[in-house]
Amino acid sequence: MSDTLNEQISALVDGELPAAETELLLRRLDREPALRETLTRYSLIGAVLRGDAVSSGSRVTLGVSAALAAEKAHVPAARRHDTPQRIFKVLGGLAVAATVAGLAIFGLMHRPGFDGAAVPQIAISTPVVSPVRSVHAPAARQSVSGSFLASHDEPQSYVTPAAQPSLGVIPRAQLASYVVAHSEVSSPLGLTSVLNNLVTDGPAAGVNGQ
Amino acid sequence: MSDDTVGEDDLLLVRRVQSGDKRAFDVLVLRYQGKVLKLVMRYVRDAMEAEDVAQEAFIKAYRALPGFRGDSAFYTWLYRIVINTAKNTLVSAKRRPLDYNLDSPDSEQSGLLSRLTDGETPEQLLLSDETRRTVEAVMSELPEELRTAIVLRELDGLSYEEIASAVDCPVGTVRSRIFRAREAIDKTLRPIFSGGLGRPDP
Repeated sequence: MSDTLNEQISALVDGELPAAETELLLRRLDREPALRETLTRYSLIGAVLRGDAVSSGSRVTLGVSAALAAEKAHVPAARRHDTPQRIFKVLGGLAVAATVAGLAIFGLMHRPGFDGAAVPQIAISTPVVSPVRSVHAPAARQSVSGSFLASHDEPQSYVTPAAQPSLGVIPRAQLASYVVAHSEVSSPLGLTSVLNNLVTDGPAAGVNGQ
Repeated sequence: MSDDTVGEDDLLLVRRVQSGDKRAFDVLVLRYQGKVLKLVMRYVRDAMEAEDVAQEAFIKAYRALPGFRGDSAFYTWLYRIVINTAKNTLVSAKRRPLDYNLDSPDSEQSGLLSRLTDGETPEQLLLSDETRRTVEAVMSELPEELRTAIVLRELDGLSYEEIASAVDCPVGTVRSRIFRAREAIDKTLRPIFSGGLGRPDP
């Protein structure tokens, strides 16, 4: 056994081994009984120097070790919580965040003086769990699934239309209703941002649908 | 050893145990068994019974470890488990705690008395005495700097950084000196411990 390893064990006994070395050494201790014996002897040397009961100490160590051999190892907390419900909750949170972000961008694009031609036109897809009903979805985008959804009283489209001067936008009142209806699941910052836009924008600020 | 250093290192080991590494718990047991035994002996005088209580406390601690979040130091948390386990033992045996003052002038004598009257066999006492004599002999022959380093660490409980500051040398040198001191003692003790820790050769 190398002196380097034994020196690491000595530092581990004292709680002075750097974290990275501790990780590696613990793995080796798991595999190599000789290293474990060295660890135990080094600990007992301290007990002898301090005048502790050496035989008692070793019996406690052996007793605990034997009892724990029959115990199941602990499962990491992260793995324990990876239930389907938790995954669904995370995905739901991401969906809400994406919706709020979409609305914020939408509101920004319709602020007074915003030049829609200055930025690339983008379509923002919103997640299924919190759809935004498209008021002016182009007919060409209607599909079989769109018809199916319409017949089942579902939103006709999950695509927020890109801001184009020629196309209409969600009416102010409808957007306000949407924001209020979803206020429980919106982040305070996103909600404030959207509502501010609605309140501060002038009547002529891109309210094409009214 | 400074509390901060121990706290960080204990927490690292605790996290390892929480992620399924039982071996890391062995290190914690080795680190604290002496303190735990002394603590238990305040409640239970019988050495064998004290070992049982210490063992039970460590096993309880292992089982409760997933709930330990590191809000307090590991030993503070363990201390409460040990005290509760010792008290429960007394309650189940319908006994009162010992009024055992470890700092009293005759505590060493009463400790020796309890060792002779409770638990330890003559062979174990012989082993302990032989072990002590061996360690003392090796210690007296160690180079001064090695002896100073291990005494400051094991008896005075200083951290490597504190020792480095006290003897005016780098921390790495302290680590190396303490290891060399242990290695020298270990070479002499190995034959005594062979055939089972804490037990003489058959």
